[in-house]
Amino acid sequence: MHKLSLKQLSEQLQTKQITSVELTKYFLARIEQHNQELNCFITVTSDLALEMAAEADKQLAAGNSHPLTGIPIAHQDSFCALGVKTSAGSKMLDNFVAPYDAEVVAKLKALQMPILGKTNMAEFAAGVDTNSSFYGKTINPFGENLPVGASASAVAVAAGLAPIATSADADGTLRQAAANCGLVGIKPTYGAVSRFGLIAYASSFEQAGLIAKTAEDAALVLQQMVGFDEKDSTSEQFDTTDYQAWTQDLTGLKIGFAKQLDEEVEDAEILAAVEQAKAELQKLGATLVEVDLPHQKYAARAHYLLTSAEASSNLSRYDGVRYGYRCENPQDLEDLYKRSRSEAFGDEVKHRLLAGAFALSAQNYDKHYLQAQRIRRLVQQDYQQAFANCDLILAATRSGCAEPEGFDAKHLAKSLLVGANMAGAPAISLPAGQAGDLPISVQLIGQNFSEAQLLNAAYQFQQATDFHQIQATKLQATKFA
Amino acid sequence: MVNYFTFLRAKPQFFDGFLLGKELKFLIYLVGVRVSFQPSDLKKLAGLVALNLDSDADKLSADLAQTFAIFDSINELDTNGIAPLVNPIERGAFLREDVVTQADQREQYQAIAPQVEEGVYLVPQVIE
Repeated sequence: MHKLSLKQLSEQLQTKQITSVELTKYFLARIEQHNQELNCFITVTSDLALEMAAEADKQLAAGNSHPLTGIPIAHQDSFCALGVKTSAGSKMLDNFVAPYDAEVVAKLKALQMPILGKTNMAEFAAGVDTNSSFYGKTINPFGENLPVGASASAVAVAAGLAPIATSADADGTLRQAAANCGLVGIKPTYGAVSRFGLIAYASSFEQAGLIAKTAEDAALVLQQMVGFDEKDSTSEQFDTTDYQAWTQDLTGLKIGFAKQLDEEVEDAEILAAVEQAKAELQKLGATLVEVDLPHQKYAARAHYLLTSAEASSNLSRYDGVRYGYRCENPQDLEDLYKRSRSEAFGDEVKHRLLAGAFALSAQNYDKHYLQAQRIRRLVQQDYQQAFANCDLILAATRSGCAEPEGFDAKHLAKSLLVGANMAGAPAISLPAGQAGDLPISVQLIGQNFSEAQLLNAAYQFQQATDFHQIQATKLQATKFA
Repeated sequence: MVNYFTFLRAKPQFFDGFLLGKELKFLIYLVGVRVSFQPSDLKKLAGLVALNLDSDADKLSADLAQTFAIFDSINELDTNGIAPLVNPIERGAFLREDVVTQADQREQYQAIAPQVEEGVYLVPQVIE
């Protein structure tokens, strides 16, 4: 059951071969069996899931259901869900039970997609892996020493504990985690999906997205997530198109590639996968165009600075007064603030807060914060100019197979991913090869609100290749089969 | 010496094509930041973000110095005349009718507060 696509699950539900309660129980049983080892869920919401599944079954029986009705989903723990603990991986919010639903959660709830639980993540998404989570690190089902990334939603889907899961992408973490597990990860255009109820970390960069087995699965759910929300001041009004308007092939599509992105790739195997992806896309009818991204080499550094600054500002709301952790026996108000924050934030978050405050301080404001924002405009302009000559840009998702050592190196290693966040552009990462035990992924970056084009290109690629099935096959040989 | 490093960080373009190779300049950046970023600076910074420093402040100082060197290095790019980009969306805020859209949810929101009494959040006494 956990190997089936969303379309197949939907068919089984609609044709009454299975009920949503049965399907939900199946995934809850897998979570019960494997989560202790994988540690990919912080909270499992069995009662809520079964209650929603029962309601879904009523709608299915009455014939007034949506194709996604009854299909369970996992939400990353940075999305508020009414009455459910929402921690963002932090001790600070360990006692926080959300008093409302995030817009994304509400939209998918309205379709009666049972919520299986909340997935583990880097504390406040401010890290590159789940080591910084208050709840301990998540294990990669394909090998405990293999990287996971900052979102355990990828592990929940890869290990078959959830058919699909939400995640968020401020610095490529969603795409990186998807790539680590051989899955598809889509970060929509900034403003396409409401951030209402998504716990803020780097507000001008992050976007809610999905980690899925295939582009088709992602298209089905993303279609229901996008749209203007007046509760989010950065939500955009735009014309939504059909994300499943699959074309025959990719004739007429212009795929850009930039030497500045290819040059950052350190491993020959990754570069070979990118070249192979180019060839596959050409076979499907696409043409290749070289584009120029001259400010790419500054993107990661400027992004690192700006996200630290925004995190420093966003996390100032945690004061031990209104919600979240409060220290024992505070001596005075200052002690209450400082001890609550010092005891509840982890080292990674503290580093980001201090770094952000440094960049925002009066003496550095111009040469750090404003300079990084000027670079951000140059990076955005690079992408805009590139898209004058092509439809999508193809690049590797990761620059190297080995995990970089050291705090700064880990952040800077996401240099291929952060361009899309800097520009606000949509991007999709998809499996495109294999290097030893590690899956290799490539990403396609599109113009704003070109999700349909991105998903179609990824879908056509997955119709023509079977890279996306490699990890699922490998799972058969593990104890998580 | 510190003045030299400060000058170098503030005006790196002054040294373009002048005596120093890029790597050496970067090394001096690192050393310069290490010299100029003192434990007392860390204390001030920690105060700004309301954090107490733990016993490992020296290591934190060293780690942060490396991060700050990375931040400093973006100044090698000349961005004269470029307007900062704050947010990918630059259309400004949407306006809506000035009407009540949400019911009062104070009780619900205060139910999750650490300490509340009669609708107000309680903190240690501030004024005698």
